[in-house]
This record gives sequence, C-alpha cells and structure tokens, in this order.
Amino acid sequence: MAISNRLAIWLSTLLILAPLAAAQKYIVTDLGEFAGGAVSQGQSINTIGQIAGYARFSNYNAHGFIWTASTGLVDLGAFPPASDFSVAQGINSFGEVVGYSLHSGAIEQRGVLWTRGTMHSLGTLPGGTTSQANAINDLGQITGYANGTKTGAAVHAVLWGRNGVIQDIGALSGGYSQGDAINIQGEVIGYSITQDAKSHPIYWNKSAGLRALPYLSATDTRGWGLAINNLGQIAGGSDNNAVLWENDKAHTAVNLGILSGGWSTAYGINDQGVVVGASGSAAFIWTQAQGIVDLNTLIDSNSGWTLGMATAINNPGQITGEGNYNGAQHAFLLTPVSQ
Amino acid sequence: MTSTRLATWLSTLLLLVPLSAAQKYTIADLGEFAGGAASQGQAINTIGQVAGYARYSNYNAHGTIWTASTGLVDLGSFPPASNFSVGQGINSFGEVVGYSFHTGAIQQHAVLWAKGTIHDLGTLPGGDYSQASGINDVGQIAGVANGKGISPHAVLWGRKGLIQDLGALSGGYSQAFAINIQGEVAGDSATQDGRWHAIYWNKSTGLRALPYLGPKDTSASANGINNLGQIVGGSGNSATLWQNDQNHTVQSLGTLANTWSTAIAINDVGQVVGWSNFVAFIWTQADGIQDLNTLIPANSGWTLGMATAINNRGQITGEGYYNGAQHAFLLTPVSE
Repeated sequence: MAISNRLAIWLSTLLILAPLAAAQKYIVTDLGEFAGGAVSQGQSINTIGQIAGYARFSNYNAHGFIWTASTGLVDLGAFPPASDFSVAQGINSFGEVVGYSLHSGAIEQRGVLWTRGTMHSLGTLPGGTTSQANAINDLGQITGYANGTKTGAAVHAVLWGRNGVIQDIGALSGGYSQGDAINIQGEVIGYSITQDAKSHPIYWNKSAGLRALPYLSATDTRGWGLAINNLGQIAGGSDNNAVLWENDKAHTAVNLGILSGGWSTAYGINDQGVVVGASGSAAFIWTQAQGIVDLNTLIDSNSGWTLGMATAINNPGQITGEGNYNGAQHAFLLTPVSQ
Repeated sequence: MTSTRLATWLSTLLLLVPLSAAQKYTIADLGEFAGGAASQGQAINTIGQVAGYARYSNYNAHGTIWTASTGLVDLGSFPPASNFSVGQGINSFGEVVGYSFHTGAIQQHAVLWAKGTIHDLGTLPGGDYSQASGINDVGQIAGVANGKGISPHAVLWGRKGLIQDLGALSGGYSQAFAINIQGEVAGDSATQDGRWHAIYWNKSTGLRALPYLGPKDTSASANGINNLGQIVGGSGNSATLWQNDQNHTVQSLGTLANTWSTAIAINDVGQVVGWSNFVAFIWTQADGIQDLNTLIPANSGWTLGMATAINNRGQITGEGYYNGAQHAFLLTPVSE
C-alpha cells in the first residue's frame, strides 16, 4: 500500500520531469558552392544521402550538381557550351539525376537525365520546343512536362519510360499540366490549370488515369501536388496551406498548418509520412505526432544558419533545402541526431 | 656525327618503348538479364566472382553474382520478385550482401545471400532501415541500420546475425561501407558542426575520425579498406589514401583533368580504384592516377565510368557504357 503510493508519486514526478515532446534534433552540413561561385540550393536527396540541386557561378549562371560526402559539390555540366544553364531537380537511389538545361543556340529548354555524368536529352512530345524533368524513381521512370504539336502552346505532364519513350499523361480541361513527382509504383502527381484559371493538384496512375485531388477547402482556387512517397501519400499545397493527401480512395486532404507569414507549402515526404516544406521565411518539418515545427528550432542556435526552405526528406530522415548561412544562400543537409 | 647517330638511335628507341610501363587489361562484358537492361559490378572476390545488380526490362533491379562459369545470376529479392534488391559486397566463399525492399511497408533491409537463400539481417531494435555494404571471409558484415530513437548508425553483423551498433561521432549519424579480414570497418559520420568525417573502427579502439586531406575540407568519407588496414575514400574534392600507421597518415591520389575524384576500393597490394570526373581510374604508387580507358584495347566499344572494386590479382569491376548500354565489366590484367 505505502509502496504503491510512493510509486505513484514517484511516477507522477517522473512524468512532470520528462520532456513533453522529444523532438528530433539535427546537425547542419553546408554543401558549399562552386569555386568562385555564389548561391546553391538542394532539391532532392536519396536514401544514402546523395543530394541533387543547383549552384551558381560568379556570373550567376547555374549548373546542376550532385553532392556526396566523399566528393563534395560536383558540377554536372550543361548542354555545351558550359555557359549554358542547367538545374538538377531529382535523384534516385542509383545516383541518377534529372533536371533541365538550355540549348543556347535556339534557347530551347530540354529535360535531361544525368547517368554517371553522361548527359542525355529527354526530348519533347513530337513537334515540341520545350521540356523539363522534375523527378526520377528507382525504376528510371521520369516525370516532368513537355509540349508538342498536339498540346498547342501549353505543356502537358509527361512520363518518360526508361527507354526514353515519352508519354503524354494529359491535363484537365484547360490543357496545361505538369508532373512534379513520381514514386516506385509509377504514380505521378503535379498540377493542372483548368479553363476557369484555377490550378488543381493532380494524381495519375496507369490504370485510373488523371484525376484532380481535392482542395483543402471548397473555396480554394490554387493547389499543387509536389511530392509523393512510395506508399502513395502526397504532399503539396492548397491556397495558403501545406497539405498532405492520404492514400485512401478519396485522397483525403489534411491541413498541415502554418508557422508564420500566412502561408505554407509542403515540398517533400518520405515513406514514414514525415513532411517538409516552407512557411513564411522558415523551413518546416511536419510529423503526425508533433505537427508543424520550425526546423530552425531543431538545430544548434549558434550554427550561423537560417533555414528558409526544406525541399526533400529521405527515409533515414535526412533533409535538404536552402538557407542563409552567414549571409550567403547555400544548400544544406540536415542529419538527424540520436536522442 | 656520332652524336647524330645517337640521337637517331634514341628517337627510334622512344618510338619502340612504350612511354609508360602501365599495366594493360582485357575487358569482359558481364552482360545483363535476358531481355534486361543495365548492370553494375559492385564488388569482386579473390577468385574473380563479381557481386552487383542488374535491371530487368521494366528497370526493376535485382542483386547479381557473376562467375566465369555461370555468367550473370539473379540473386532474387524479398518476395514478390517485383521488389528491388542490390548486391554490394562479396567474400571468398561467394556470400553476397546488400539490401532489398519489403513491399508492404516499403522498408529497406540489409540482406545476406548464402547458398541460394536470402536472409533478412534486420535493423537495430525498433528500426525500419538497414543496408549491408561489405562482408569478410569470417562472415562479418558491415553496413548501416537505424533503431527506435537511434539515427542510422554504422553496424557490424556477426557470424550468427547478431547486430552491433558501432556508434557515431558527436553528430550521432554514421554508416559503414567496408570491412576487412581483421574486422576493421571504414565509413563516414557527421559531427555536431555539420562536417562529415571518414571514420575507422576496430574492436579495441572503437570509432575514430580519420584526418582530412586539407585544412579547409569539410567533408570526407572512407569507402574501402584492405586487409592491411589501408583505407581509401575522398576528402574535399580529392581521392585519398589513409595509411595504416597510428596517425592514419593521409595522402592525395590526385584527380584526372584537374577536377574531382573519389577512391572506392583498395587491394592488399595497395592498388586503388575509383572514379574521377565520371571516369574510372586506377592509382598505383608507381604510376599515380591513370584513366582506365587508356589501359584497355582501343576500339573495344567501352567507356569505363566507374571502377568499384579490385582484387589481389588486380582484377577490377565497375560500370561503363558498352556500345551505348550501361554494363558491368571485369578487367583482367595481361602480362606485358
């Protein structure tokens, strides 16, 4: 009796002393910049912590990069001449990177795939003039957008198979769409603009075809799907709110909240359903347990960093994006620290 | 007069004698799955068996073992076969390690393929992620795993499958990429200041950071270790070799075309392979860094992109483009 009372008191004391939420902490790695360059941004991260993104030279021309701990920042180049522009947008587990580059001769933009440093142009739909690749899955399937004779002036979301064969996955009524992400199941998400000038988040798979995802609120007029995990959960935005669309039949939309500045957008999601993005001037992380949290509160306050945007998160929980590091805009790698 | 003859003789000699006595190689294509596309060699053992992965026509990847007598063999994955797997390491007994996916929860687990069976190596308690990178002849396996409340850490699986957390530097995150016969492990780990360090672990000293190459370097990684304890990897933008002395003395292996390089493996003779500027290289004490493409027959149809492993006979595996297709290769030294 006495013992159990004491035990109860001891237990309640313990509960008061225990931190309310054991939030995950992170360390920040500066991905640096090109020699003599300025500005870098991380766009995508794979399971082993390799990061794709872009960085600018001193003349502000940008090139896609891949970063690994053993090589540092590696310039992926552009269509020749090197004065041309390129951006890397997505990376898969095999280190294959996609993005886009400009052909300066005709000032045309093409989606590109970099495999082991070799740059492949992905082309356009027949008769087209422009394309962009935004994501690649481990099966080598790539999504993005392209135009062609049949799309008129608009671009359409497209799927490139691993043989480089391009497939138009269509658009809602207005005829404009783009693919932003693709998962291992070949599900594609993005957005499409309808004739009433609303932009709708979209979802596509091979059997169901293209459909609009629901807005968070029926009165919303703008929405984007920006990331999809391998389970089919989707992250993006609807009007001013970051959104998670569940992988149920209805694609139920969950409001992830706002930190500050009156807006938030989700850019990345991993297979644990952890979401990252930006709200106001800060990068955020969202988890089911703790909701939306400013990533700046989860790093060393004396690090010299202000994290502005988190663009992607891998399954081990590493995050990339862009922030201000002692006055310069740099790409970062956040690595979770054991508790 | 005499001196003119001498000059003539000397110039003739120069034409006849190769400029460098560099080792030359024959090249074998390790092929691809029937109807498949793309393959990569990741590790090679003493008898020239190669572990890696190859892709089917739908680009799904499965771990592979290649031997001269069997060709490319599919090691399979966790069922169903539509799951991914990748082979990363091989020992003298043909045991292969790597990783595969569990579709249900899309979890990635380290695996051991032994005698035709796939074994799930699991994670640290409560974890959902692991990957195996190397296996030695004692059957010890090095890799990475997470656990409940534990970020991914370098781990060592013992012969009986018991998993040991090798710890991490102050940042609490680490991964192991290679292991030698002595059970010494190499990898990388982050520190609180955000820097990545090459790391070395052994049973008695535990985990330690290896020195950077340059004082301004902020990231490094150790990718390979030989049985003498010599370690290779990259620091800053340069391939590096860490000696097996007390201080792990570090030296640069140079780069091709003055760009970037990283070393991936080292054999017991001290020959190092890796890639620089997206080109496969070999480094030896005598010849320094050389583009492997200059050491294979001209007009072979190959462009060697990355060399990932070298055995004690000097055979090298990796990945390149063979007449436009991404294929695994095996280089075998030829006598000069």
